[in-house]
Amino acid sequence: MKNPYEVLGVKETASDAEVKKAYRDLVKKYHPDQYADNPLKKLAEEKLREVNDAYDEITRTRANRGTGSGYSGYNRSGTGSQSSSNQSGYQNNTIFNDIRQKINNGQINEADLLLEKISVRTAEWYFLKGLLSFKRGWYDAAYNHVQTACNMDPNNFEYRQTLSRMSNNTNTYRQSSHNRGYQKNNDTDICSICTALYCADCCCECAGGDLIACC
Amino acid sequence: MFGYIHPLKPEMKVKDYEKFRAYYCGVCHSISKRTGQSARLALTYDACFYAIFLDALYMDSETSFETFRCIRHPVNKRPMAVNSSCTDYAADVNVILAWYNLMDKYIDGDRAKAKTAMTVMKRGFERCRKRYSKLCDQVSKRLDDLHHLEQEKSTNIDLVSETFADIIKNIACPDFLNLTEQSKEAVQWLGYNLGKWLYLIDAFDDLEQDVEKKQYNPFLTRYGYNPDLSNMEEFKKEIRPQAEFILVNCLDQITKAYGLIDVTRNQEIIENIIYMGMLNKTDQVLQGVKKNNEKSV
Repeated sequence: MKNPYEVLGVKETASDAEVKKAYRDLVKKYHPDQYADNPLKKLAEEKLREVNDAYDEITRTRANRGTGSGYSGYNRSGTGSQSSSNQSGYQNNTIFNDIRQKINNGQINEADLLLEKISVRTAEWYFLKGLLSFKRGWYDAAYNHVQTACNMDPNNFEYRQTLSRMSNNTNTYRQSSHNRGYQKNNDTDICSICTALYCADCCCECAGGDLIACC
Repeated sequence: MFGYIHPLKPEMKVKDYEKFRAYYCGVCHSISKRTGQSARLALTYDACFYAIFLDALYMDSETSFETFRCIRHPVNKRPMAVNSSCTDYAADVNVILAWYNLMDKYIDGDRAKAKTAMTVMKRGFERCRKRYSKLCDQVSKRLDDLHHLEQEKSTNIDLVSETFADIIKNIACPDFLNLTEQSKEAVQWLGYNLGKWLYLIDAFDDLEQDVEKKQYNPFLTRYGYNPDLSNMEEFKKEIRPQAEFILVNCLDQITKAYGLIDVTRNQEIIENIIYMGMLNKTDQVLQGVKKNNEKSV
């Protein structure tokens, strides 16, 4: 097993609070919700398990200091979020359930073949086609199919939720860019202003004067 | 499809910028060493990013940094990444992609210019083809598929962009990296989305030009641009949200795949590029800001 401190990315001397913070950040990063429509979901689950185990290990070894595990991990069973998506009123429709299962397991091509065999295209059909398209990287098709599903069955919570999650992906990404310092339209940079000033200063100095006295 | 992968310089630490430049010089040097001086002209920032990214994944990397003088920068010595199988690989891939890009231009019309460049690069490309014959076959097969779809005037933007996405996916995972199956999967997914982003951002950037030259563009066919009735500015405004949805989703998936890969070095540079540089480029292109993509560092 890997060194639990390395897994969490903290020093062995880190305080309990630091460990906890690192743990929380990683849980957030690998959280199943982040990877709901992603073909790498299994890998994320595995990472999360690793993080959980590491955190358990650390809390256990530190237990005699009485910190306890306080923060119970996510997704211990490894099945996590997918169970929530099975309640759409089509439960008795075994083919759709079968397809859903396949999409969840990442068997995209098999699921697509089954879907293509169905000629009656209900809202659920479009929804599943959309989910599958997203996992395949077909974002345009994904959005349109799920939107069609929403239009056909406007009362279905799951469809609407999925549609907004897809649009939300772009917002979460923008948010994390923003947190790193990115600002839209802020590109005509300060550097060019400085360069201009510097050049102007040099020109003046050549001509015997001075624009910026200090340099 | 080239030159869109940039770091966002104002948000970069100076040491990272220096390192980025060192890789850039390293790739340039690798090209001249492996495929000949003339192929140096094909150097892009994208290849520099590949080198940095691959080196980050490569556990047994022997990359070191030394200062050198070169033709382009004869006065000051510059640090350069040397002894790196990653810069070598990125250099070869750069030449291969540039070659096929020229071929594409040749078929699409700009014959004289493309022909000249191809004559200059031919020997270099032949050397690369010998080294990676399987990869070259895959690339040329997917580009044929792309060409067919273009001729059919396909409206399926996902399918069209997938051709180029597959190419980058294949390139992203060279065997020498010795990755585990799982990391491979994540790296390939990153490559797929990177390729898709590259193809689509290039397509959006070229909208006006393609209308003018009556060339295929997936955005034009997908959203039904009519050259007699539609106004380009309005058309762009109309499709901007959809284009943004696809492009930023690609970026989001790139960062998600990246989060699952064990990276040993260069984290800051890669994160600057995938979180900020590429988003900046996306916003610029969507807003219609035209900028020179290949300004030397």
